[in-house]
Amino acid sequence: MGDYSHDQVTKIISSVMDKVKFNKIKTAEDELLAVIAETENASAAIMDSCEVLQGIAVNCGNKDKAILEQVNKIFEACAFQDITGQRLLKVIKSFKNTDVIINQNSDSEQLENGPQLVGKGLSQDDIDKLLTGAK
Amino acid sequence: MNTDMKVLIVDDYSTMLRIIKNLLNQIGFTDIDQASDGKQALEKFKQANYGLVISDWNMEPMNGFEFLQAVRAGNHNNNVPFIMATAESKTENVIKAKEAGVSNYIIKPFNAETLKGKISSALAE
Repeated sequence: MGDYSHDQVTKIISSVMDKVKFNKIKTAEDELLAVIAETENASAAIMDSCEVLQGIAVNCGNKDKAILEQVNKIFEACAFQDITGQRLLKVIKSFKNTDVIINQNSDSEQLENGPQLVGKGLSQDDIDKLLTGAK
Repeated sequence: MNTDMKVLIVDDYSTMLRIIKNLLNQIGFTDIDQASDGKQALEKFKQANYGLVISDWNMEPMNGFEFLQAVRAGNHNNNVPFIMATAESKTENVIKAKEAGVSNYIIKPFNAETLKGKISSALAE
């Protein structure tokens, strides 16, 4: 260490730390993007089967309305892929602004768009009232 | 409800497009176009006569709010019933959408009954 000044040592350590942070963040981003892609593929496979079941239920006549209703619920539940995907993208966006976050100077607005946490955003009833109220 | 019209659905998630299309089919709509962002939707909108638009908010390069503004500011079919179907549930966004002329606003995730009710209400205006 005697060959290096204090400033040089600080710069070297800082440079190494930056690389470690960047690599870890990049890996985390890639993992989250993979989660989005995998849930999209899984949702597509589930919906493929739902469409086949809908076709079978329709051809079987009215007595299979109960099956159709349940298949529809599975279809509707696949919206989780959109919601979770948007949440993960919010996290990825925050990773991409690492410098700002590390400096504790975070622009939190980037995390405000997209799905709100439970209890944070408006409910459908609140929105209906808001829309009707000013009309 | 009159389902004999052309519907444009806009969402950047293929999963959501498929869910909405399936729900619309069950309600009785069969003439359905789709786009994956506001820009693509606006191009389609200018070239056809849609009776109903259902759009997401968070999309790139043009989001659903900008698409709504462009539709309302345009000369073609600018009174079309426009439903925002989004996970955006902040008060200021709902107010912005209302001021821009949104016909109805649905929070994701939603079910067939909610969608049907909002469409019915938007078409009745």
